Amino acid sequence: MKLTTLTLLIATSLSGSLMADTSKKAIPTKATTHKVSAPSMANKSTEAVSFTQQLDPDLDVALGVKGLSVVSKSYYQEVSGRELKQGVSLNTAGTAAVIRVTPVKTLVQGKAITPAVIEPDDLELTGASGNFNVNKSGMAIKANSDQLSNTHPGIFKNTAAFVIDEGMGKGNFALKTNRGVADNDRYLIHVFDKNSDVNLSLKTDRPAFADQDTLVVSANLAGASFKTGSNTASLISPDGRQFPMSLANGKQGVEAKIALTMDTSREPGELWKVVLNSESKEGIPRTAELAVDIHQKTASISNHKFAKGNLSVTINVNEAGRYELRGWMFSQLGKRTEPKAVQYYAKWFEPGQHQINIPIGAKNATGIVLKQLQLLDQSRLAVLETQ
Amino acid sequence: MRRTLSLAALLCALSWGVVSANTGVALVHGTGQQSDAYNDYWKSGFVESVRQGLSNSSNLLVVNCNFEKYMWDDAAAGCLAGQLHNFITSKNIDDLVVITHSNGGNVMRWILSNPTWDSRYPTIINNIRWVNAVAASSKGTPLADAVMQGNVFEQSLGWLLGYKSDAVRQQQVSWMEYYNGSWLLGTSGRPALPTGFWNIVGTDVESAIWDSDSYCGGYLENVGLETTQNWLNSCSDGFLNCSSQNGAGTLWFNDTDRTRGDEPLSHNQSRRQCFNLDVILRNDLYGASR
Repeated sequence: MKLTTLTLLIATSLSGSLMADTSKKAIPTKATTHKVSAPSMANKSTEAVSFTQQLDPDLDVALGVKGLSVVSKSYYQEVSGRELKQGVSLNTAGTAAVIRVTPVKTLVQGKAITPAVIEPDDLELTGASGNFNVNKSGMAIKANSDQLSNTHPGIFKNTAAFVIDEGMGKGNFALKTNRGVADNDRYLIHVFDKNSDVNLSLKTDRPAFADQDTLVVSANLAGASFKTGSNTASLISPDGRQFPMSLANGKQGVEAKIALTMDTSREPGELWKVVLNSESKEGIPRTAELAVDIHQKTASISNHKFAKGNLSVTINVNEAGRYELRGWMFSQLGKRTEPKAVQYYAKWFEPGQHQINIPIGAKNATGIVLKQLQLLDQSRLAVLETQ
Repeated sequence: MRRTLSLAALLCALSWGVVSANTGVALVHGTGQQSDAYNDYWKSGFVESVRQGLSNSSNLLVVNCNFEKYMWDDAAAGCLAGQLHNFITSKNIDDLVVITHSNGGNVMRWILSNPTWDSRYPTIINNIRWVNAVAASSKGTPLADAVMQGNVFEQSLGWLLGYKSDAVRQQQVSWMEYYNGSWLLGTSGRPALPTGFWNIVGTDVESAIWDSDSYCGGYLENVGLETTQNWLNSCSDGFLNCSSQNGAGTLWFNDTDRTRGDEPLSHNQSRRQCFNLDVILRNDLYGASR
């Protein structure tokens, strides 16, 4: 019996941790708060720029907004050094799962400390077929730290990983370290159950939400059923603030919900994430993380009119910034329409009401219809309206 | 087919003397902060081989920017736009072929998708013949997901699992899904990009110790990429699934359809002088510049 082991990145870092909470860290259920600093602006250009992009009439252009989704066959759990020395339980529904162990920073006497990297040689895996040292039991593929830092700079720092050998099957395993890590050290164990049929999916009905909206995320577990009461969900801002989401059984699976009444400031373009933890009735855990845009409603479209080759739009600007209008023009051919062009116009606007006239061109305007109008905030990177 | 027709039309026009294009080529690196991409990211052998496709060999630009940042950042798209705009205007380039690698494709796509972001963008867009996107991370990579899962920023500690650059965060699969649907063009259901965006897709990694092809681009790097294929689909180049590499724009070719010996291009080999990739890209320039 062999373990297929993969030494991912073996960047050494010394441990000095002495005191920390030793309990397993659950997904947060309590809102965390801290002062939110004023976000910067991605684009402060004031000049007006316009552009016309002709479209292929045969192109299948989808109008409206499309929701976001993610599918996960993985989970992770944070454990203490003490737990890892005693043996941590892992559950897989498929064979050849990929396991990663990564040290988690902890605060020791006011100083952020990263515990020692645990390498495959320090790990022992016990399954139904026996007890094996991860490194010595076989090495089908091996890469040292230099190889991987050259291959993926800045990605797999401090991480060690291995693949459970096919011959060990699936089910329950115990992962243990023989290394003398401190009891209070903390590690994150990722399990990527690649060959499993059990996957957790999350989806929203739109990609972006404004402050004061309600964010609703649907969760489904394919290949298994949710264990009653096993789900937890939270919303995490780009700067680390965490907010618990309420959970209820929906028409299809579970719905996680939260009213966006918190400060939704964020650096331009950075996305929030919904983290949902679940477990199947058979005890297979899953974690899925879905990125969503949550932004402030900095401007809106009051009205618009497209006639005689001119697109006239009135916008209400709450926050000064650079805003873009996108007009999606289609050719009207009897009852049928086909894509014609996208008309772009952007400029800096101060707070207040502004009317913008965008000439489409009389020559090209005959038989042209405006199918979609969008307002985008280029300073903070937010799609504010699609109508 | 469409690419062949476009090229044929261009060649036809050239032969009649209707068009006298001043062709240039720009090489756009992937994730990372480059100050000497010619030597560090691409290597001189690759660049000089591609350069041979130009009738005016000085019409070459090797871009150096900070692609550790988000694609829209001034240090990323702003820097790229500055270098491309200066290249186009100072050398009167009106037929620019852009060759991108990996995340460089996303930064280039940002410029093509957001023409009003910056007054330099329309000039750039209007002078590009097409983009050859080699191993583009158009739909992100599960590797970025894997390293960001559980990695949360805490005020007192910073990133719990260590800092990951903006570019790594951006290339998470669900982040790219958002950007593709809201800010970027060229994916299914979205308007096409205003210029061609032709994908070269790396489909596998080979690192057999006895196979000399495994040594092109660096044996150890290929071993590393084969390792990280564990997080990816069977069709992948060690960093990106094929579906991401062909997620925006149009397929030009899968590596094994055109490379010497039908060899696959790992994510590292697709920016090196491996299996005639440089010659394929050179000929792509040559055809239109003569």
